[in-house]
Amino acid sequence: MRQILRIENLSKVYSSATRYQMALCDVSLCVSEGEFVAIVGPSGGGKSTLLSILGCLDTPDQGRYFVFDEEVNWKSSKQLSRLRGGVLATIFQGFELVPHWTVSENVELGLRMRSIPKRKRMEIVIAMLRKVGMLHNIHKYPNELSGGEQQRVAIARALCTAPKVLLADEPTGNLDPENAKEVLGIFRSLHEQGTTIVMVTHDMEIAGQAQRVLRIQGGRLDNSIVTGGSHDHA
Amino acid sequence: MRETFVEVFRNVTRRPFQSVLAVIGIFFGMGGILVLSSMGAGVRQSIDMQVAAIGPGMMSVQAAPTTQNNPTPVVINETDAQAVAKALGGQAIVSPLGESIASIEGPKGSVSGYAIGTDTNFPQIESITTPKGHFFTPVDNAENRTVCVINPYLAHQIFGSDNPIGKQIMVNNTSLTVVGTFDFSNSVSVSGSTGEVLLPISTYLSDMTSTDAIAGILLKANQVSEVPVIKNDVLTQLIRDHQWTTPVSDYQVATQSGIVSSSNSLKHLFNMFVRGAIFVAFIVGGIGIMNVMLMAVSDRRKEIGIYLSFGATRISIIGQFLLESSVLTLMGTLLGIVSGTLLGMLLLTENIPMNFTVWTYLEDIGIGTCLGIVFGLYPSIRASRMTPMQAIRE
Repeated sequence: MRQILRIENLSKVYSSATRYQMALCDVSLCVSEGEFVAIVGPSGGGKSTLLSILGCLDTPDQGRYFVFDEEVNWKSSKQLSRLRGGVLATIFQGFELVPHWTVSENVELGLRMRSIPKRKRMEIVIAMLRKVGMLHNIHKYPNELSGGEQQRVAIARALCTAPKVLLADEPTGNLDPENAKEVLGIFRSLHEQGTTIVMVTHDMEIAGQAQRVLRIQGGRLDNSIVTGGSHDHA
Repeated sequence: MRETFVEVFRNVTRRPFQSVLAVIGIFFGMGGILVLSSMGAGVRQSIDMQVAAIGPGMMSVQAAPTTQNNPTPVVINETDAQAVAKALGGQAIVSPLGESIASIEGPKGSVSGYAIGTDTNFPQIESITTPKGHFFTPVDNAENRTVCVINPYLAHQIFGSDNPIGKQIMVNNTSLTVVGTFDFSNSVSVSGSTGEVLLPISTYLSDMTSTDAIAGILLKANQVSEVPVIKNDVLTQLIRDHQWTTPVSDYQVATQSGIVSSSNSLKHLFNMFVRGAIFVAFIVGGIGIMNVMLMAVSDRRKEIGIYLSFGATRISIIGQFLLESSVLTLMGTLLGIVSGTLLGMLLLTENIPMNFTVWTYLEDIGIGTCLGIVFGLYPSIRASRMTPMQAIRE
């Protein structure tokens, strides 16, 4: 399988006048095209930071990052925005929908950033909302939706730009078991269709859905404890 | 493009209180700038008109005011005016000018104004006409006749709608017969906006003043090119006749070119004042808009983070916030233009010179747009520099 994401010796420190925390320490990782990887670990272990860097949403202090063998230049806002709006898409634990936008306006955000014409955008938005079973809520605002529904809207938003890699930060963290099951179902379906998924979770049961499970603790990725997940790629 | 403007409008109206405050700040600033610019243009135009009214061949001779170095003022009298006229021959028309504050009474009222003693050359020098009656004659002047010519303002004040011709008025307790009313288009000696009585210089000297000193001598050169020569001849004549040994700076001979130079300095000073006031208004308005935009960036950090997470470029974030600040300033500017124009029209009714030109409006809109861009730039750049996670987390 072709490597899609590769990080080498990545480190990240959060420091302020009162705080110094090594969030990531010399982390290296490869993710192949079509893989479903879960990263598990305790709170504060560095998994969300790792995912943010993989999504080009945060910058490392040291190390190199390659997407499709192209090294990420953290100073090139043009390259970063191209990756964020194209190859990579992130689903946040807190959904991060814009509260004063309707569902369709939230979902089409990535398409708007790529200057796709409105008619084409609407076609894609409708298709994505149908895929996640949220088409009937297209004109609603986020505060009119349940947590599970908001997460599905966030998934639709991430899928709109047809990303190669879906990065999900605790996608079921704010959901009840029923909604969590539905969201995982969507992930499985996406994976079966060939989307590469990197998911961060603290729940081993959820992580068990992935092909490969990695543990991160104290900012160190333990590559020796690589566990095969229960879900096999079709 | 339409979508962008709709979104900008939504963002602006989503924080109505902040937006209204910003617009009010700009509204006052830009309204003030428009009024100041128009007033500046009006004053400049008014000065130019007054200078133009003097005419290129017009001159006036006056004794220089007393100073510490020159405690004894020189005196100019009617004889000097006659001597100057004789010395210049046909080079210029000459007229003496005596002027004093006067209490003027008529059958229907009394006003304070000016008694102006002169001769029959005065109408020609000052382009004065007499729509009713006639100007006093050389005989009136020669025989010290108590006749006068008054302006329409005075006629209205002391005669109402009655015909003043042939009627008596009291000027500083001297009874004068009105023989005409005068009008003028441009003049340096009369304004028309206060009570003004023109009377023969002989009558003026005998009845209105206890000395033979007059305010000055008016001259109008036949050839504009001869003004410098005439100026020199006048001073030579005055110095010779009076056997003065005092320096020439004791006498002022004002010519149009001299007045143009003074008025240019005045216009420059006024211009500087107006520009300074505009700069202050610009800074005050700008700080207001910057404050509002910084608050908007702070309030919308998460939103900016979401934008960036889904592919927004730094330029698009800067553009979005610049557009918002420009819309706010443009709204304030347009309101300022409307209110500034109304205020300007109100000031015009109070005889304050205002000149609303296309240029003043364009300048106002230009300044408003610059304001939005210049002071919106820093908050916009600040918004674009955050990493998505920084923006979403904080």
